[in-house]
Amino acid sequence: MKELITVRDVSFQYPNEDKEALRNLSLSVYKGEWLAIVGHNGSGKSTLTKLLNGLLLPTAGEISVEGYSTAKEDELWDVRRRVGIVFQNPDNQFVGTSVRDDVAFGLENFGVPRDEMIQRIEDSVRRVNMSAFIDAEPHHLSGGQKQRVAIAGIIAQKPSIIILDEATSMLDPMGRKEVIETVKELNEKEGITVISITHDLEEAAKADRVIVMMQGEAKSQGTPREVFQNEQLLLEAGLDLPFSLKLGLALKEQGVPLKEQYITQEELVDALWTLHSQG
Amino acid sequence: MDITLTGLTHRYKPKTPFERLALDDIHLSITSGSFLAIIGHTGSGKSTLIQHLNGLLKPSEGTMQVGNLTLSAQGKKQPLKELRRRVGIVFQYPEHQLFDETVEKDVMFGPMNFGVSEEQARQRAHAMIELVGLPAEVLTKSPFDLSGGQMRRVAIAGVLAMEPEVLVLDEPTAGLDPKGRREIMDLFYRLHKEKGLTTILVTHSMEDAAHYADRIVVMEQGRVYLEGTPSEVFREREMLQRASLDVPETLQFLLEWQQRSKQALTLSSFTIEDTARVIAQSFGEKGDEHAR
Ligand SMILES: Nc1ncnc2c1ncn2[C@@H]1O[C@H](COP(=O)(O)OP(=O)(O)OP(=O)(O)O)[C@@H](O)[C@H]1O
Ligand SMILES: Nc1ncnc2c1ncn2[C@@H]1O[C@H](COP(=O)(O)OP(=O)(O)OP(=O)(O)O)[C@@H](O)[C@H]1O
Ligand SMILES: [Mg+2]
Ligand SMILES: [Mg+2]
Repeated sequence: MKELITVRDVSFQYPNEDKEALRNLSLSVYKGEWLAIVGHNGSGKSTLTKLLNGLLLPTAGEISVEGYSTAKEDELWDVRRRVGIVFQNPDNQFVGTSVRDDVAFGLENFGVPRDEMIQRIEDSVRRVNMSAFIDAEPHHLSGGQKQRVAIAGIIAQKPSIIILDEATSMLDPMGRKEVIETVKELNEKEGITVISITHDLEEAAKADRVIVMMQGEAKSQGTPREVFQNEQLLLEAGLDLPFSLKLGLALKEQGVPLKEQYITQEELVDALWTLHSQG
Repeated sequence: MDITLTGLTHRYKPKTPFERLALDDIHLSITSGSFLAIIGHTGSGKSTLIQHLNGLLKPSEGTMQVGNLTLSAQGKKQPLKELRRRVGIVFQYPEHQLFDETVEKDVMFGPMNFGVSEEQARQRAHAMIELVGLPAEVLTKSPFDLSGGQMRRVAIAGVLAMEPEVLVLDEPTAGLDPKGRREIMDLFYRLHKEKGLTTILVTHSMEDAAHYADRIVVMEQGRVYLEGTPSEVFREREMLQRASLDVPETLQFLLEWQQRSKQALTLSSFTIEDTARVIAQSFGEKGDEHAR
C-alpha cells in the first residue's frame, strides 16, 4: 500500500514546557486506510494532528505528506491542501458569519471556481444534514450542530486526508453513526484517507488500523484485533475494552464457553448463536 | 433544592427573521436531592434549558423556580447572584468557562467571587485539581495550554470548587478518555450522594443515563417528549428511535440476542454483568451444561 504520510523520529516540545509532548514518534499512514488513534488525555494526539499539517513544526525529526515536507515553507501549502483537519473544538475553526460563508471561506482559500463552490457548499452541508441551517450563524448553533458544520467545511475542501479530532464527541448516538457513515462513504468510494482520533472504542474497533498513544509515544500499532488483545496495555493507557470484548469476558465468567475474543457485536452474536445451536 | 419549570419557553433572536423557538412550554419538577438525566438529539433544546437554571438565559415566557428563587419573563430584579451561588454549571464546551491566566487562579475565581478567603480558595483549588485526576504541575499553566480533556477537567474542578447545591452537567465527559469518563462520573455520583446535591446531567450516553439517573427526561424539538425512570423510558425503544435515540448498548445487545434465540428475556439493570447473566441463563434453559 502506498505510504501517504511519514512521521520519522519526531519529537515535539511546547515553548516553556519542560516535558516533551511527543517523543521519538515514528509512524506511517497509508493511502485509503481508516486509521484510529486512541490514547489518554494529554497523550499527544492533537499535537500530532497539528504537526501533520504544519501548524506546529517538530523540534526533532521529520514529517512528510505525499513527499512534501512540513518543515519547508514553500511546500507547506501543498501539505495543507492535502490534509483537512476537523479540530476538537469547532468554535476555533469558524470564520464565517453564516454556515454558507464559513464553508465558502475554506474553498476561496483554495481558489475553487464560483460555480463549483456553490455546488460543493450545498452538497457538503446536505451530507451532514444541516441544510436547514445554511444561513444560521455557526457560533449560535447547538454543540452537535457545530460539529456537523465543522465536518461539512472540511468535506467541501476534498482533501486527500481527513483528520477527525474527536469530531463527533457531541453528537447523539444515531447522529454519530450517520456522520461516521458519511465519512466512511468518502473513504470507500473516493479513496479519501481518514485518521480518526477518538475516545469511542467501538468506533476504533471498526478501523483498519489502530495506534495507541501514551505519554507522547506510540505504544501499540496494529489491526483492532491485535491491539485490543492487550487488555493490560489498554488499561495503562487510560482506555478500556470495547463493549463486545467486555461482554464476552463477562459471558465467559458466567460459564458460556466462548473461544475467542469478539471485537464487534455482530461477531459476538454469531458466536453465541453457533454455541447455542450446538448446545 | 426543588426546581420547578412552569410553561418555560425560550426564543432566540425574537422578532427577527432568525427567530428560533428553542424551548416550547416546558413543565418540569425536579425533586431536591434527585439525579435527573436529560437526553435528546442534537438541537433539541437541552443546553438552552439548562442555561436557564443559573440565569444565563432568561425565559421568553413562563417561570423557573429554584428553591425560593424565581426567574421569570417579566421579573425586573432577577436574583442572579444568589442563583449562581447555588447552581454550578459545567458547560458543553469547557473553553466557554475558562478565562484566567493560570489554572489555579481560574479555579479559585468562583469561590472567591462568593466570599471565600484567598487561602481557602487556594486550598480548594489544589484539592479539586487532584480530585479530577490532574497533576499539580498544571496549576501554574494557562488553562488554554492544555489538551482538550485536561481543559474539561479544569472546568469541572472550577465548578466543584464553588460547592454548589445544584450541579448541572452539560455533556461533562465528552472529550475525556474512557478511564477518565468512568472516574469523573463516579466522582459526580459520589458527591451527589455525600452532599445531597440535586444533579442534572445532559448526556448522549444512554448508558450513563441508565446507570446514574433516578429519572430521565427526553427532549425533542424544544418539548418534553418522554419522562420517567430509566426502565420506563428505555421500554419505549420505538419512540426513542423516532427521536433519533436508542436504548443502552446492553439492552440493544440483549434484544438482538432475543431475536436470534427466540426467547423472551428481561433485564433488571443495564449493567454488562447483568446482561451476561441473562444471556447465560438463556443457555441454561435449553438444558445446556455450560451455564451454572
Ligand atoms: N499550547 C500548549 N502549550 C503547552 N502545552 C500544551 C499545549 N497544548 C497541549 N499541551 C500539552 O501537551 C500534551 C499533549 O497535549 P495534546 O493536546 O496533544 O493531548 P491529546 O492527546 O490531544 O489529549 P486529549 O485527549 O485531552 O485531547 C499535554 O500534556 C498538554 O498539557
Ligand atoms: N445563540 C443562539 N442563537 C440562535 N439559535 C440558537 C442559539 N443557541 C442555540 N440555538 C438553536 O436552538 C436550538 C436548541 O439548541 P440547544 O443548544 O439547546 O440544543 P442541544 O439540545 O443542547 O443540542 P446538542 O446536543 O447539539 O448540544 C437549536 O436548533 C439551535 O440551533
Ligand atoms: Mg486532543
Ligand atoms: Mg447542547
